[in-house]
Amino acid sequence: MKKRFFMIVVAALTVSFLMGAPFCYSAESIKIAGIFALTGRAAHIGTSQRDAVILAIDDVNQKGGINGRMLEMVMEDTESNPTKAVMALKKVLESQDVVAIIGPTLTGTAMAMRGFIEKEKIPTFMHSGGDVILKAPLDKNDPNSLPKWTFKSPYKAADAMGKICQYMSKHGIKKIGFLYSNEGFGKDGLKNVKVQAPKYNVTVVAQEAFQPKDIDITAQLTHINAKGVDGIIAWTVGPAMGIIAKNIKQLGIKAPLFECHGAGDPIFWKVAGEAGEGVMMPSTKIVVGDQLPDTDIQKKKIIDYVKAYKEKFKHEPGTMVAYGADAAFIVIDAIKKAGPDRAKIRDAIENTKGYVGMSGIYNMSPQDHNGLSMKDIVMIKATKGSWKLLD
Amino acid sequence: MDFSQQIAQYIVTGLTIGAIYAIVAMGFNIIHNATGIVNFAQCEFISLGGMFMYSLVVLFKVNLIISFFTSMAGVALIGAMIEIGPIRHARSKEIIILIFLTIGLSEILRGTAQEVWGTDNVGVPAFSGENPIHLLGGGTIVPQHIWIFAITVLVMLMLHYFFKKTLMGKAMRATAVNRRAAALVGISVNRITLFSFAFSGALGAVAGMIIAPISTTSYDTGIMLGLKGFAAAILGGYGNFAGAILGGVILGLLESLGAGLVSSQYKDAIAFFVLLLVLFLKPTGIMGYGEAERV
Repeated sequence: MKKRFFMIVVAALTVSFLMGAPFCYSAESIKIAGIFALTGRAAHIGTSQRDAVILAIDDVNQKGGINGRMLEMVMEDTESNPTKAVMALKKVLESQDVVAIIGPTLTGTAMAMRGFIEKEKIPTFMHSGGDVILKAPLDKNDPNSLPKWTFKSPYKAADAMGKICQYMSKHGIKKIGFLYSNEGFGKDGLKNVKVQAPKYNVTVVAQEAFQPKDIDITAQLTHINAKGVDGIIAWTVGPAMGIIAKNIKQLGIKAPLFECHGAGDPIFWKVAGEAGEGVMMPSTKIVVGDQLPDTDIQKKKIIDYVKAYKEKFKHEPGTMVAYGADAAFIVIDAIKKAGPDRAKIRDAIENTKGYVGMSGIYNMSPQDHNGLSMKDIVMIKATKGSWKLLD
Repeated sequence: MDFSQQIAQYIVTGLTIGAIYAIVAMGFNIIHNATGIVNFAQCEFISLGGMFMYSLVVLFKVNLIISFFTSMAGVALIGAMIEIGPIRHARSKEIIILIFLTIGLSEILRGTAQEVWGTDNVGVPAFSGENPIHLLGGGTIVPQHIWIFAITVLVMLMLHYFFKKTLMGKAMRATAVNRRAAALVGISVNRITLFSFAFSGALGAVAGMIIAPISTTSYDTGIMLGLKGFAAAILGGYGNFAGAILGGVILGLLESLGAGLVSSQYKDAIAFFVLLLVLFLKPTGIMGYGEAERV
């Protein structure tokens, strides 16, 4: 009896080994790591960026891969937590031979991972919004020690802020209140608004912080409203986007609300409901692709991509999907050009010029590891569960 | 908006948030009194309440009132299952082991909820519209705030009646005072424990449901509320019901007034600083009596 059982096990193992063999021994796949906030408070961003990257990789693999080698993504979750992000990064680097990293999602996690990435010398294309990732020196004592291996796909938060201020001054909004989530992304926004607002003759008369998980922000808004502002900017992603819109309605504040460049996502309507009506924000063109003028060179690319995205995932892409897609396509292009070599991939990414992406036209250089400009940003307005392109 | 109106707004906000903290604190207290443990799965009761409500109201279009009570019953059942299963069959009845057990259960519940509902925050419609109401003394609220107040007060009154007047309530109090003695006079301690878990589940669910229309809900909303509720329970005196209400309201007011008047950046720090201060001066919490050790 025991012997027979043993024979069955051996037979089963042999068969499974033989069946698996053709896959095991074909050209080895090229591995990249995808590190996203799949859970935690930024999960809605992380998961849609993951989907965007999966779509890009599927696209390459269906066309036969890169020089006959399939592209494979090793996925890790940061749990929206900087400590977990570093652990995920170390785990990937120790256990897998990856040539590049895509992600992470949040600025806080990006800052935590950055030092390690630079030390390990692995090209990393981040989706995080904050500019500090590229601007803050790695060594506090040396202002020139800027990251060499780190890139980011979302346009500079400073430009997004500039776009809002520009729009405000064009529409006669002069005194504003600034509301920010008390973590990496929000604080980055605070620094930016202090630089950008004066450029467009807009004055920040009140600034208030809140915790990303707060369930009520009326106290801060009451304080801002008491200063007699004629516009409010709220710098956060996540449920607070909706809570602020609802609280503003509750308090009867008339000043228009502007949110950050991450708000243009289906999640916005889920958390804000009807209170979201009329909120304005800077965005990538991906959410208003069909409203773009035909002369726009991104239009066709965006419409094709959105169609493929909707077919695969059965829902509308948000503004963040553009960042995921662009990061993935640029990294894939770099691997195609340079082969699976970390240093060569890095150089190829840095030399990306005139790449027409979902978020805009990327022109990278050693000084600019983002490559987008304010021209690539559009202002949109939340209208009836969707988005309207503003002038 | 003049200063007195601002203050009124901070107080109204603080009271609403405080009411939620108080209900959560009550949930912690009930299980503590019956078993002596801190039930960390309380956080998950809150999230589950919100998510059940969301599923029924938004996904299945069930009537609001039916959804409310079904969700409450559903989470109460989960609470009861936790007791019947792992808590009752734990081979060690050491308090610390049982507490760790609830941490594990909390992770399991959260993980399952994440698989079922995904990670997005979702909105639940307000119980009766979202048109703002202007209060006489200044300050504005939405109808949901009135619901939060009303339901909290009702829950408190019912709990008061239950613990003071009914046999079951008295039995629960007796068990809290001395499990062994309670068992000796014929109280089924197992049943009391079971009941306390179901009860806490229902309370957690109520907290999760009444706040959901304001804050939106997700598989992990309960963590933050649970933590604050726990702090409120400690502030008021762990295990003390009047203390839970007081602790909740004080914490809510501190946060809101702290954010409005001192600094929004340090509002949690202000609230927890006061918590620490109270615990230094009176380690048993504001209303706590402490434990009398028999020598």
